[in-house]
Amino acid sequence: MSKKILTVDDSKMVRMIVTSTFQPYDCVVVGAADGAEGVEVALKERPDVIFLDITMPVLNGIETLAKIRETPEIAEIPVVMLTAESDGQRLGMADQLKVSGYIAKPFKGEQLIELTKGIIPLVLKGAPPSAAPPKPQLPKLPVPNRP
Amino acid sequence: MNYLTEITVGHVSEWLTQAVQDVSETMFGQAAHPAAQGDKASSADQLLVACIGIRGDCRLEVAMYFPQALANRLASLSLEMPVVDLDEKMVSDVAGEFSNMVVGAVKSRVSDLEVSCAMTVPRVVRCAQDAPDSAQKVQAALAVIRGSAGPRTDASARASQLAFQVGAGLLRVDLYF
Repeated sequence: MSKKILTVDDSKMVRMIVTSTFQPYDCVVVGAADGAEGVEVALKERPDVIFLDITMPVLNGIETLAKIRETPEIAEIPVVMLTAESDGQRLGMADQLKVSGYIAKPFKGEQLIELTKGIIPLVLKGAPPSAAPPKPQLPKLPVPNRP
Repeated sequence: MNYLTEITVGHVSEWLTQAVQDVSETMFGQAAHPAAQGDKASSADQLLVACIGIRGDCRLEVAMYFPQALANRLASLSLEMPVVDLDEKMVSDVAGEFSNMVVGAVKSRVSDLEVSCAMTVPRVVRCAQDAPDSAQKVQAALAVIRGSAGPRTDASARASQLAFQVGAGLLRVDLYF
């Protein structure tokens, strides 16, 4: 089944670059031009991953992330910050809201792919099912001693 | 460790230079080289001027002057579309995002020195090189960025002017600090 990716950025250029980066993969990319629209689209589309800018009109990326985390239907969706503001202050705020990763602008498409592969399985379009990469392994938890 | 006791025009100019080169190379595959201050776009050129600022304990504004041909080329490269298929909005968006990435890198350097600040959203204005109202348009955009209607006397004079050769185009960057 196709994976769905949401890119929330006020720059159409960034949304188009994200879309073309995932074009070879079995993915659908949807976009939103500000944080409020991003929350709306996330609720409607239920994406597997969200790429989120910080400096945006209406709701900035940090406010948007907080809104996502407090909305039960979309609270668990992995969010990757894709931002020109990659300083400790901003990233610290995002960290408290459980982000899955950061990519600093300027960026290369390969960075998006590599980081996304660590979050969801990505399959090239037209690849036979056997060529699909294995699902990411969850870390093994210690088995509790039973009485 | 924060070893800077004061952020100077020299620091910001150096960070801007690094950021312009990095953004140009990474996002557009175009090497950017510092150019002579006297170099100037042709007076017939239309310009897209991307204005953006940093607010908070560090305050600065930046105006980036893209000749139309350079802005078209950068938009064409990043959106993977021929220039004839681009509309004005797309080209303005690319100029604005270029300025956002450049000043974002500068803001990150400032914040890493534990100076509290935030970036503004870019504003892009179009004007003709050497047209009488061009400077007024740019100052009006900078005033919005500053969040004040009138000109700020201490920022009315440019603190620094940089220029870069980006491919065949000349990008001018004015810093108000």
